Amino acid sequence: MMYVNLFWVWGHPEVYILVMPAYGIYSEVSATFSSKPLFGYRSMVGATLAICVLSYTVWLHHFFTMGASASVNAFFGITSMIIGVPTGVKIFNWLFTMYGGRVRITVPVLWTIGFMVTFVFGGLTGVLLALPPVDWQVHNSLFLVAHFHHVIIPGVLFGVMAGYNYWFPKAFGFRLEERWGIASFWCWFIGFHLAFMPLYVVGLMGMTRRMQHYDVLSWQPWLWVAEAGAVIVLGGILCQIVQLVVSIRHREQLRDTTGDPWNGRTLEWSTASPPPAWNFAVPPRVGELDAFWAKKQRVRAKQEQPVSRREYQPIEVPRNNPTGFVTAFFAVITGFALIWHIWWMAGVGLLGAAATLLTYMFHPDEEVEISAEQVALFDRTHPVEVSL
Amino acid sequence: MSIAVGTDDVYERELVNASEAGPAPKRIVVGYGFWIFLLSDIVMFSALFASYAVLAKASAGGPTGAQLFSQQNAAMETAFLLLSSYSCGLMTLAANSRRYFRTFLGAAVTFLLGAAFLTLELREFHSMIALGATAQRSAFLSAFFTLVGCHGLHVTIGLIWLVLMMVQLAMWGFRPVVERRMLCFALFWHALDIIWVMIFTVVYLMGVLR
Amino acid sequence: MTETRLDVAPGERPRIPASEHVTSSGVLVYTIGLLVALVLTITSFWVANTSALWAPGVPAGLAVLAIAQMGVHLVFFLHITSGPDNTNNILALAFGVLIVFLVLGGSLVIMANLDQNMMAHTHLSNSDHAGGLTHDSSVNALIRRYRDASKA
Repeated sequence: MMYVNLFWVWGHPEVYILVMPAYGIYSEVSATFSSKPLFGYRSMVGATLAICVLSYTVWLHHFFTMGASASVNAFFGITSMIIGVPTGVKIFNWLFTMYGGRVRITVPVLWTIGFMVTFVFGGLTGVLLALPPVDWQVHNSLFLVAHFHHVIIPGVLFGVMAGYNYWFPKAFGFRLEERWGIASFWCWFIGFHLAFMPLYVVGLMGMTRRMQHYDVLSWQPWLWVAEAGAVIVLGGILCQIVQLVVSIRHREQLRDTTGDPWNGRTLEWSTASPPPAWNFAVPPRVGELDAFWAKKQRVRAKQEQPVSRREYQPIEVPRNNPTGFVTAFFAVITGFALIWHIWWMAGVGLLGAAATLLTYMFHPDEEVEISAEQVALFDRTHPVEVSL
Repeated sequence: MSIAVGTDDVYERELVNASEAGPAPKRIVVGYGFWIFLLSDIVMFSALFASYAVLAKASAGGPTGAQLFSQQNAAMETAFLLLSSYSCGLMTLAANSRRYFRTFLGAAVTFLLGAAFLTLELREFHSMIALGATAQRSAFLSAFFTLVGCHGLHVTIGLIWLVLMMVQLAMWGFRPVVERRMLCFALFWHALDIIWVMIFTVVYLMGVLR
Repeated sequence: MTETRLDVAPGERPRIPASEHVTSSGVLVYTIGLLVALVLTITSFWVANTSALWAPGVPAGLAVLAIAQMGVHLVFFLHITSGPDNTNNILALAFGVLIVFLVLGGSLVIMANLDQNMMAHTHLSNSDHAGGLTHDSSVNALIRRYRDASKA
């Protein structure tokens, strides 16, 4: 039980580590495509901080049934219910960001709306599970499985998809094809609901998780529906693969020439797509949130020339090197070997990691300097509509 | 958004807009990043401490802490590590004033004291294993060897790092990158002593109480 | 151009203006730290071995002394002080301490609670088993109770 306890001390914060970046993506996407600033910035920050701290106070809810007394279970049940509040604050903020804005229904926005509609219900089932008496009935049943998929898939996966579609043009210089994106979203959305909603029912009927086979016929229709949902999700994944292939093939038509394909609000959209290694030729002056948006309003209001004469300085950037990647490779070998007590392999992994780190450590130059001329040349050949 | 730098007349009073100040100097960024890594390492140790605390009485009929631990040994180990922290501090001061000989001297003393600590610890482990008090004997011993052994591993890695730093210092002199790395080493070494304080209190002193 | 330092790296001393510089102030700080730490350490060893103190209070006393020693290390060796340029370092440390407290304290409370709850039927103490085994009879008792309750 000490192992279980320590595992979940890590394991619960982990799921918040998974979802917090996705929350950030939703904040960016909802603000950009509503042409409105993010609603309630300060409460968003406060909610994030609250989640950071509270996520370390709930872990026992993963083992309510393992013999702790009622008072201990009650404490963690209460904290598990409290932790729903900051997320609720965030959902309201995203809703109010979109409310009253001119919402452009692009693929990232579809994923965001899909998230908002689905995640709330998944979170609610989490609040149900936070009650120890309820959890005792459904612990390790498919009800639980349905709950955590109901939060992770809309929360994390939809966020990743939204971010993928949103930032792809910035990273690679051309947009992803829209229609296949829409198709992939609907397949995922419909498929997800078909695949997981029956699991709540079947969980309440007594089906446990990790079953190799079952012999309760009344579960079967529900599981067939779930299977259909899984197939539709597979269709969604295939649509995403097709989307990527088609986008690469049609990349010239989908090319992002301005660096700002979405009429964005934040600084990354003021760079070329893809941006140079140094990001900004001159450090941007930032006086407010949504600095790029503010600058665009000023430029359009005054009909200014976007780029005045600039003084380019040489810029120091880190030297490209594979140290992290290679060290991680050796770390994987070491970890694998330690688990299976293959001592010689563990030695190889450790030595390899040490050699890699030593090579990096004794390389004389950590950075590379990009000359001012190179920076100026890039700026001249990649004009952007409005730059800071 | 402005930040007042300096809070009394002795500092130059400068109101600097946070965005105009630009990124923090590398030394600060590197130091802060390493500090966050150290805190994560301390969290890992806290998990090992929690395991030890829970299992400290689970000696499965085998040797207990009171039977195995020598307070004299623990006192000497503590003295060595504390003094090595001190010599590391002196080494840092010498590095700040760019004095080569004193830096090498501080490093050598730190290394010797750290090696002495490790020698004592390894001898203790050896004598315990010779008595049959191996990590496989009981949960208490597993937890003990994991916790104290992990700390010893960190000390070993620190000593190797120290040697490498002196090699770099000899090769490159007080380059900014060398200075930053020495700052990180000093942070690491002091943090190890902090963890040792917890170890000798919880494992050795509390272990022999009953 | 004066370098405006808004922050201090952890492990570095906050800037002391030139007028307040003492030539050996650096060595003094470390030496004071060493001496205080030594005193606290020796006190710890004395506390653990003396019979002059009320026995149940000894672990608490040791814990307090350990925390004091860690504080001495933080302040004198790592220079984590409460100046305006040290705020980031203090915040990171505070968060780290919070997590350590939650992990340590939480684990101890939970494991003690589990131990008490699950071992009550058999009166076997931990030291007779290789730690933390749930005795068969207590698990069976729980299963029996659950089955009876769901039949009702």
